[in-house]
Amino acid sequence: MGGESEAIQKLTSAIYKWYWSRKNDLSRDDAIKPALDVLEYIYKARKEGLDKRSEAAYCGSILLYSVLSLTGRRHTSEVDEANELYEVGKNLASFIWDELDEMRNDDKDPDGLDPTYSELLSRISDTIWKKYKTLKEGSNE
Amino acid sequence: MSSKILVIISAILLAFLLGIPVNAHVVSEKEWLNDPHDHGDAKIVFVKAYQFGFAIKAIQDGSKIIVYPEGSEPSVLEVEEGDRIVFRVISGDVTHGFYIDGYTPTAVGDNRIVIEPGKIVEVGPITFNKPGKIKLRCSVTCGPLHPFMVSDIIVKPNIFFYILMASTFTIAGLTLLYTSRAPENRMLGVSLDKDLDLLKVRVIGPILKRFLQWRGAHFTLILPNLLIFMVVLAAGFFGNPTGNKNFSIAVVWILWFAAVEFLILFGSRTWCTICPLPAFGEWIARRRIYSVHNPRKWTSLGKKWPKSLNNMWVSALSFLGISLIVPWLVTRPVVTGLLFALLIAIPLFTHIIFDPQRNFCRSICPANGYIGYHSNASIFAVRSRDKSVCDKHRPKECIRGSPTGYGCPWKIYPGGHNENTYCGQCYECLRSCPLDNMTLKLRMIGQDLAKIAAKAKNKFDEAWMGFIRFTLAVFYELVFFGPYFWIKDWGNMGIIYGANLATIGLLTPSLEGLNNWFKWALIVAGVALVGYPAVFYGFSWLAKKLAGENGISTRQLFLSFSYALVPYGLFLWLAFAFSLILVNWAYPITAFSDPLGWGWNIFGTKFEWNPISPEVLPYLQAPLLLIGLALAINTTYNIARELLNDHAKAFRATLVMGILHTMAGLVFVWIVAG
Repeated sequence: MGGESEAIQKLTSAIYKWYWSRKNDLSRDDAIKPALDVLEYIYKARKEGLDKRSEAAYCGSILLYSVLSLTGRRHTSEVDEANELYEVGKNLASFIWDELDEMRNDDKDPDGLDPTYSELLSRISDTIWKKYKTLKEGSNE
Repeated sequence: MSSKILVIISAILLAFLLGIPVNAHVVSEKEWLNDPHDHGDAKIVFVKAYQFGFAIKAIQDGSKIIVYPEGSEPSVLEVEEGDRIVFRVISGDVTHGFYIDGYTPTAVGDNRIVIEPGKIVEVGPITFNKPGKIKLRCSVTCGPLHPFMVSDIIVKPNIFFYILMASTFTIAGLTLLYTSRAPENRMLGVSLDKDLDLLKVRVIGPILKRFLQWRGAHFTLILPNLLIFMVVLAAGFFGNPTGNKNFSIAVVWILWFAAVEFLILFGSRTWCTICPLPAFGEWIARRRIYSVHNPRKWTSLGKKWPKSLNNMWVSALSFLGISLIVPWLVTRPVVTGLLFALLIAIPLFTHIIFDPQRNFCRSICPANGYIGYHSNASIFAVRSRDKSVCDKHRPKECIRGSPTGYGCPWKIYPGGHNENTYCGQCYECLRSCPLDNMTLKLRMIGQDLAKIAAKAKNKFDEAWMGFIRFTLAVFYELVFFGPYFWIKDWGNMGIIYGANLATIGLLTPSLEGLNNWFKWALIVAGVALVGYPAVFYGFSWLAKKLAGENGISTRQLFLSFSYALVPYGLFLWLAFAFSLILVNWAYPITAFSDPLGWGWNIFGTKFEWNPISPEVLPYLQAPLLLIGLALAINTTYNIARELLNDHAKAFRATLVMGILHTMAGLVFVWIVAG
């Protein structure tokens, strides 16, 4: 759980900086979409047996492009934005991959990963949404 | 008898229309030579047309007649300015045509002078009043090598030849004089530091950017070409066996072969952008036609591409190999069909077996190698706007890929590259870069050449690509548009038939044909692989000695200086492309309406062969040669300056290499005008 909170902490801080702070009144779906895009991809990539390292790195780009698209941009002129979102997305994807591995090894889900994945997804979504609300309330005060 | 009357009527008609009398009557070859006619002060030249050349059998001047024995007939006719010549022409085999650039009428319809077997056709008297070298061509399709059935007529004094020789020396001298003034990073007076960001040009830039960043752009550009390739295959296997009547030959080896040289100069690797050869493999490997796959799973065994193939050797040698059978390849549809089938199958195989990238394009494709090599002399390039941005940017989507674009399939780092050699212009980097840092640049020829050449430590493959391309430009001009029948015949293995899949057996060569072909292959490969490189090495050694430079090996100078052939070779090929397209433009245009050569006229673009002012060809080719020479000398200086870091030494080395480039230019001058 320590790894999860750290990964989510970094993620929310980055997407707050480059996404949430630029948009007002986001719906839950829109607020958590960048993270969900990463989760969805890494789940599929793992299921297909692709290489963890390379796909986790690719998730860094998925996070960036998700943010770009949600902020109505095709490109960014900020190298820092690209670098930060890439690192955060990569770490998150890597963490999720390990989590899914662990769940499988613990034999919590002998018939397939879907229920565990759903559980993980809902837990992370809730945490991110809560974080969004906290950060937004903090910034409004 | 009736055909005799017809010939006489058409001859009289022609004479009436053009003022050049043409008479025809049936006689034996013996009568032809032994019964010379009196044409007053006009000389009579006895010409025998045959597949695929013209032999001057005898020349009668007044009462004096010189008869050339069989086998030693001259291929070149020399006349004095103002000479009046009557040609008495017969055919030794099939029906031929008789067309002299700038002298005989258009080669269309009834105006065409036709030489039927067993008949003598008298053409003339023609007064040769324009000094220079002109071509005598066959204007009636007579077999596979018909478009290249030519002979030379030199009207003396051949002033243009002397002017061109003097111009070659003058241009070389002026360029050397220019380099003696120590121009820093300039090419013929133009700065090499400046370029134009094409995607920032008003109106055009945004449209072009939007199109290229659209994922469907590549597919849209490939699709029409893919259809053309399908027609090439169908025509190659099942179309008319005579090359110039077949789409596969007319479109590929006349239109494409010429157009690709212009594409290289103005669009770098634009051909590779639209080439459909690797498309099937790429689509299967990606499991997508144009979108980005998600997840990134490939249909491929993913074996590692052999490191030993990560160079240009296979491309260079396969281009040479293809050139050794070029008289077959460019005239026999079935040979072209088979080559294309192979070129579609190999990339399919490489994508499925090896890592699914453009390994075939990078290392095997015979066209890609030379296109990539000469692209370094192009005015067009895909580059990053600001390299420091790419350096700071860690994700490197241009290599890894992103949700909007694949990582570079050509296995280069687009953000940092500064040469066109292995950039296939697929524009994936424009789509994948989130920083919008990739663009298209217009620049002066040779912008990056000196740097590329200076760091070429062991790039023997690229050096030999340069030698092969450079020497073959001269050979192609000589073989296809030169007057020497024997050289065409040796390369052609003496076979007079065209062939599609049904008649492929006709291409079985005789032992003598094979023997001659080996001699031809030995000459061509010998000059390209050993002869010219050896001379080049010798001059590099001399350049080192004269420059007084001991810190750099002759080998390094040899490798680096070979990059001067990048622009020089390209301009020689451009000169060759002019010969090809201006003379034979009617064949490809007709082929679009009649791809299989079955007499269709689908789009109404059927034309008879009618060259566009072929007599001005040398005047178009000469400037290209001279520009190529000047670029080669200036490039040599820039390379020497980059390597030696000293103007005086660089200039002395350039002086030596300049002599070699000038000598090579003179050879080309002799072929086109001498």
